[in-house]
Amino acid sequence: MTVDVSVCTACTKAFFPAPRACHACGSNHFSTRTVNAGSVEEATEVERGTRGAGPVVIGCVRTDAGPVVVARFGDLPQPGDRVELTLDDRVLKAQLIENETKGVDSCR
Amino acid sequence: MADALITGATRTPYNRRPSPGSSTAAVLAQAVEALLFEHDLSIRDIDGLGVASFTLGADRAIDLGWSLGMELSWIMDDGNGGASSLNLLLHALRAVEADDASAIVLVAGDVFGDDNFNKLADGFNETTKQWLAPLDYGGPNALFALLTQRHMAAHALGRETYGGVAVAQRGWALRNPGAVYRSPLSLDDYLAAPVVASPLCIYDCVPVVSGADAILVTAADRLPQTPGVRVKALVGAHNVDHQEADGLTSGLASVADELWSSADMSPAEIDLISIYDDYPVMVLIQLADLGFIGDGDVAGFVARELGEQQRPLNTSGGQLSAGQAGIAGSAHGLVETVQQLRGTAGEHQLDAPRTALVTGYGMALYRYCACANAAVLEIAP
Repeated sequence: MTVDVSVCTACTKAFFPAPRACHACGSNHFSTRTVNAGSVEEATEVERGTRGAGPVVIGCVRTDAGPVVVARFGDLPQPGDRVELTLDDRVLKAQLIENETKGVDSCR
Repeated sequence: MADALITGATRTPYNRRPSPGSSTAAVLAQAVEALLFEHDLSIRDIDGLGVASFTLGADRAIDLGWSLGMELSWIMDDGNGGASSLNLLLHALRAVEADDASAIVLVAGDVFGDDNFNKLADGFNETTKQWLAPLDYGGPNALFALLTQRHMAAHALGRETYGGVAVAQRGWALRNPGAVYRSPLSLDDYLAAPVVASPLCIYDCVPVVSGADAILVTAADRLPQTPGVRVKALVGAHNVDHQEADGLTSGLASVADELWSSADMSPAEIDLISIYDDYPVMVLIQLADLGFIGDGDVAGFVARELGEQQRPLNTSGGQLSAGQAGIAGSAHGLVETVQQLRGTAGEHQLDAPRTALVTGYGMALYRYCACANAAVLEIAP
């Protein structure tokens, strides 16, 4: 499944997760826009997940539509890495796009 | 208009493991009874009850009131996490001033068994249930690891700055027999500690405990012989950025000027600081938001004010050393502050502080918390 952001039909502001009203203009009419990719802002390896799995890599991705999403990664990425975003059985997943240029931020 | 004061503050023991048969309702009741006992009050003297709890199940303030035999003119529940107790305090002060009630108990507490902390983390709000729990995301530790990375990058900080907060608070905890972590902690210990979610180690994360904190708010003429604490100013700022920023400032930045001008005080006049400390990074962010780090040099502030001068900050050891009893964390700093101002802090009593600043921060909506509040307190003459 795809990852969709909500776009205010009145002022075009994009949101994730979906709000009930746009705080910028007050409209409550939204359309959805699929967002396939974004850039990693930062990521961390969590020793143990809330459901007991571990380690689990979680990170923030600035989507190409603007909003930042929290995603599950397979391996620890670098800030600036380009990733593909998918929704797989309710899990928002980020997967490295190998052939796109990486960002310049250093890894922490 | 009646004059409202905080005239009591107490805390049950914090336990890493709840004792067999213990329940949230029982722990909340224990805190209320301890508060009344301390002031030689009966249940019939109380006409207001405010409750904050995540684990009270289907019960509300009125259920606790009923079980304790209270007849009440004012009741309130607040589940807004780390901001709940100062929020309850704001309403309680107004209620006493308006003569809606004259003696209000505010109590906050939780009891955690083996797995209900993770259940709380996964079910914290509908957004978390839908978008974070399916990731097996690791709870608030993961979100604040990411936030700490952003803070480190923005201020060019190393782990030792956050460690400086944890080490300083542990120094205070050594004097507090009620703290669950009481062994000395060095910066080397901190830097070598097991990692929970990089860059956070175990000493960046609060020990989860079970327990409750309670305070008493009364009209000044109800307990004239009791030292009271006046709330000089209390402000809140919630959802100020709609989760569209980076979490590197709290709502307090937008209300700091209002706080200090309402209190007619400045940060330099504060004897004792209690900052909501779910993670060291949030201590530093709130201190900066409120004007305590005037030159913006975060690392210098930690080395100088917390390391060398041992400025009184989170003098119980804070939640990082004393423990976080769920939503009682919202009242932890308030209880510590009121006890210090009233001179009832026991073995870790400071030398007669007269003014204090206390904050609340909580409710991770998606990437960071949305609720923040702060109060300036002063011992009443």
